[in-house]
Amino acid sequence: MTVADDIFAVVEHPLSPDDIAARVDDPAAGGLVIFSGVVRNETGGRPVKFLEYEAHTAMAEAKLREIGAAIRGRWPEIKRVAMLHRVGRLEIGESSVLIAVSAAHRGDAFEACRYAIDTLKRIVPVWKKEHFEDGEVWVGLQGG
Amino acid sequence: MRVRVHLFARYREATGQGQVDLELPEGGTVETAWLAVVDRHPQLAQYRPYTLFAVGHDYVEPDHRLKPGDELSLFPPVSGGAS
Repeated sequence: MTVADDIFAVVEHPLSPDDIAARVDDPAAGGLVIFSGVVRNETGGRPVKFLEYEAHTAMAEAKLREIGAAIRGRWPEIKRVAMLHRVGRLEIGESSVLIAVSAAHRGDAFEACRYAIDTLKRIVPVWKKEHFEDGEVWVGLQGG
Repeated sequence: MRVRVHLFARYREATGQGQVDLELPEGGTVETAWLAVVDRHPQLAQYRPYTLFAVGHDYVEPDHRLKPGDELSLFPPVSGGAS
């Protein structure tokens, strides 16, 4: 359970909560929290057909590693951290981001997982394009 | 000095290019590079107030001084989302 076992990656394949849970499994963990961000079927009442995600992959993975390092500095009882972001075309209900944190106790795992997703949303260079029946739009400048 | 600029998301689509190679004067800044890119692709000018800049894997400010061979990325705000 060293930092080297942590996982931070931008991937093109479907994300599986079971797989990521296995990646942060640790005999000293008493709690495991998983956050899954999924593709919603509407934005502001407008039906969404599907999403496309694009990343600055090298920088995104570097920022994910930074978040992992910050977590280990702030919550020393964390056992393992895994953060995966998917890119490409995603359908409604599919997971775009998965974060898993295992810790000796649940409080640390919940707090660290929340910190991880909130920080990811601020600093990791990933963009999404929403495809609607009648058009498409890059999310970001509209504040959405 | 030669600097490679990478464009993402709407910037890539608006210009039809993922990267732009620039020849800038020594001591040029990120702002210098931005102006050179906008000179070639004026359709990006409207996005200036929202644009984020990164050199390598680190965010930088517009007055950041570039070095020969730097890889500069220009992109819109990250996708975010309501918490």
